[in-house]
Amino acid sequence: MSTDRDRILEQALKHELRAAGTAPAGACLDAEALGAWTDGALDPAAMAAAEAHVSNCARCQAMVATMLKSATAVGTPGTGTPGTLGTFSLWKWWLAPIAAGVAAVTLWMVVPEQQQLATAPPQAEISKAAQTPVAAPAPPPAAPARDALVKQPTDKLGQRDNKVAATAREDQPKPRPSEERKEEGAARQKRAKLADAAAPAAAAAPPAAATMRAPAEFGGLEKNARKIVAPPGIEVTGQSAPSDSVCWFVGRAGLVLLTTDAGATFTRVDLAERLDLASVSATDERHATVSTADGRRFRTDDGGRTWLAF
Amino acid sequence: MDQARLQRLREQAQADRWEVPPEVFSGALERSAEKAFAGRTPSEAELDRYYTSLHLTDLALACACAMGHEEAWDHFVLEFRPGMYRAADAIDPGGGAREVAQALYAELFGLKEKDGIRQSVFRYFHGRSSLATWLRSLIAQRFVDRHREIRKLEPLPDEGSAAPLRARASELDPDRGRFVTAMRAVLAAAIAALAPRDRLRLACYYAQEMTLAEIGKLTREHEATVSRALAKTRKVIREGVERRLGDDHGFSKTEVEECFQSIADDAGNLDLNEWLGDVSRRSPGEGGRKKPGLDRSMSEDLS
Repeated sequence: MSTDRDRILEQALKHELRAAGTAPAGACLDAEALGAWTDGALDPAAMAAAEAHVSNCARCQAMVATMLKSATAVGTPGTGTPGTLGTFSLWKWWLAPIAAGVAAVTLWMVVPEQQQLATAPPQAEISKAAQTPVAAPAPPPAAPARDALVKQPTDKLGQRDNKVAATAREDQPKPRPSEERKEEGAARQKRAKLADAAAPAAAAAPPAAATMRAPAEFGGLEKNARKIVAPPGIEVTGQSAPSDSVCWFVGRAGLVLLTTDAGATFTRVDLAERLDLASVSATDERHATVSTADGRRFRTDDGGRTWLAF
Repeated sequence: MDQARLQRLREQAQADRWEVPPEVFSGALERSAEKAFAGRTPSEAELDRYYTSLHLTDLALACACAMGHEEAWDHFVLEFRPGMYRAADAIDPGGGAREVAQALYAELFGLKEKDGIRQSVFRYFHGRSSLATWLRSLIAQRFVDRHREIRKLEPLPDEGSAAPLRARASELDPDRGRFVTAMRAVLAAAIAALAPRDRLRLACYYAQEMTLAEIGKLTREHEATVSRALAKTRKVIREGVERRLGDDHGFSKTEVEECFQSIADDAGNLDLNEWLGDVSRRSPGEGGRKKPGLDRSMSEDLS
């Protein structure tokens, strides 16, 4: 009964708060005050007054929400002007050498492997390559370096190993089993190296958005889940991949996605309640447990058809 | 204004770069302080702190643009206009906010004149926030106002929706209307009794569907703190509602339960219509919170 009342109360709150009125126009925040609030430039008294007003004014609430949505897309509030004077220039300053370094290390590790794995290279080329001294590649410019990182999974080896793109590769000649095993092993090594090479950049990179930091804070992301990615445009706060092909994703407003084919297709198995989910832990495609941002937990034993609070 | 202070602030603002006359910059600073201190006279130390906290280079640029300084305007177009359009597209990917941004751009340029003087919206920029933030908030404000104007002209839901459903339900259960009225009254009272910040979090979360992170940015709190505060507020409201239903309305435990059920049915009908929805809930693809899918089809393919 307690959970039922909570759910009803949440519905009623949503309805009641949406129906809130608007304070007299003169009392509303102007754009200057709203901007100052967003930039943290209001003194405590002014901020308290602004909060008191906005908490009762639907128009100002909508303004604040709209403003923050634009801030999320453009950049962190209070970080100065956009364009060359804003935060992006700071990013570029230290992102470029890191990206170049990562690309150089990646190329150094991956390119020789690709040369070895190329199908039946002429013997002359092999001996020529053997004679050529191996030198550390010069760091390429930042943008191409990032492209190189992004494009690696789409090269010939990456495609063969990528289950998501499996359906688009049926026309390619199938390698012999022995070759396939050899190439798969090499591809696994390459993936591991790529992941290791990318890890410092990911660790050093500044947070892209606060909402994306949530998973780590709530312990929602699992290390073994990085192979399968959520569909584009879906904000994920946690994921769990009990096997190579099965992965559960959770997000806000009760969002739960399940893939059983390594991300080729996703099934939406949301919670009935629109709770912000913070993490998921799954044992297979039928059994999973999700935790909400406020600590509640729900379990499914039938692939998300039904969820039980516990 | 004290000349030494003005000179120092002008140097910090690089006002000479845009050839902003001292009297114009001084006037902008004084207007800014007048607005911030709202009629009271601040001490010299307070004024110093305030002036130092301003985005002075942006203020000088705004003064120059309002005056029609060509180089300043070119700089603004190069550095700020793309940000305006990015913000507009983030607010409404459908292009509605970009129209607002374009109209604002014209007003910033100052197409209107009064007594022979060009009237630019830049004169309302006081430097408390960065110019980029101020532009975003102008776009947000005008977009919201335009949306609210449009909503006023929208027809109300037809007679086949919520109202008849509620009427039929009331006919079946004569007490239901009484329970709904009591529940709504105590719920409104419980919300009104909250501290402003608690009410603000609640409104942002339930009415505006902002994410915890967005609310945290607004209130300068970590999103985990926002989450805990919301849970606590919900508990306070629930306890308040249950207590008021018993104490103020004299309902028994069974009747309190019926009150909750009545509001569940009622809110459910209204939710289906969503005609009370506001601007920030209507633009698709915004923010981190998605609308719950009413049809949770197992075969839904999101790839």
